[in-house]
Amino acid sequence: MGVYVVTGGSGGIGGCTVRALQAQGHEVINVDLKGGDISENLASPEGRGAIIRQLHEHCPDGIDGLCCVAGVSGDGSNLKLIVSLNYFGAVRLAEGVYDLLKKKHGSCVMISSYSICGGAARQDVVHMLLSAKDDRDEQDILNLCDRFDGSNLSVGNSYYTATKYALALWVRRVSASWAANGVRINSVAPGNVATPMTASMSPQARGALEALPIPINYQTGGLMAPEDIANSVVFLASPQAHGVNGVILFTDGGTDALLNPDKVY
Amino acid sequence: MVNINQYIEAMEKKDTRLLGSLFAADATYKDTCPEVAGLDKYQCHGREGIDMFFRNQFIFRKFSLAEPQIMSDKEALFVGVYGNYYLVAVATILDYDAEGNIRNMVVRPA
Repeated sequence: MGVYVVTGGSGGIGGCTVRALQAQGHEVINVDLKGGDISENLASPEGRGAIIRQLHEHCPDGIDGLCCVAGVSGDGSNLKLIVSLNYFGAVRLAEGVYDLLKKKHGSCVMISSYSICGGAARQDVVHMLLSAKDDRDEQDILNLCDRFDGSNLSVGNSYYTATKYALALWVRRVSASWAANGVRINSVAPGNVATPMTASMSPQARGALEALPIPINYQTGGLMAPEDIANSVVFLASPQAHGVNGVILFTDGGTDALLNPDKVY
Repeated sequence: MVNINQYIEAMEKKDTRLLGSLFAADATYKDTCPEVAGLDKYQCHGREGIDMFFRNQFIFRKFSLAEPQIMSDKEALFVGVYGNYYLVAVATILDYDAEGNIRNMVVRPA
């Protein structure tokens, strides 16, 4: 059985991912600010450094999988947290344990969002994120967040989508070289999911979520189940997905296909 | 046989369930007007697909319809609002299924 690291594993999609992996007999290390096996802050460079150190101490022989699930919505009015957790919290952690993944020819799965197909992402933010090389660049981007009104839902959403868009692009860009070194990397793009994050949204944001049709729930309504997303994450992280690399797997119940039926790539 | 009036009425009411019910289970709806505004054309398939597609469009105020003029049982002119763009469009029913539901409809710049 393998050793898997899951961020945000104390609830929602991450919690379902942890349970699904444990049910298969794997050892799972939950990295979560609340209730994690490693409780450090993924949103700060210092916290990420501590997580990476602890993972190297605990798993000197390597890890079989990294599932970066932790993230916040665009509704929280905290643009800095959206940027630092959703993008840097995933990318910097993956880079930090890349050597551990290489040791076991492991796989990495990132959580993007189906919203990347809707054109709402701020491309200037996407460009800045992908250009950031170090902690100073990250801080420069966080400083820029102060110029925008995070309490405006559309601003928060445009930042959220930008982080998820950048994450998907980052996965695509590194996937070839990572695979050549024995590490597969993919991304899951969930539709709107019923999680603690979405349950705590404002009525306005919740209304926007529910306005996006989910074809598999046409008869019943409601959001996607977190288990649906976790199953995709676990599949991509598993040896059964050995032939899959650099893919953005839309697990949205068919929303992307509904809104963009002519796009196949 | 569904009349173009029913389509216009459903669109004006933004009643997407009613709109979907006018179409066949295997219907195709295509609107090329958004391409004039640099957007992707609208293309949706099936009764439920049309319902869900326009529910999304209406709630996010991506599309609305105004000043309709009925030209015939199968054709109407209207001002389509696509995001911030206003375009005079013509909607045409091309084909029906055996029950008289719309099977094929196109909307294009007038």
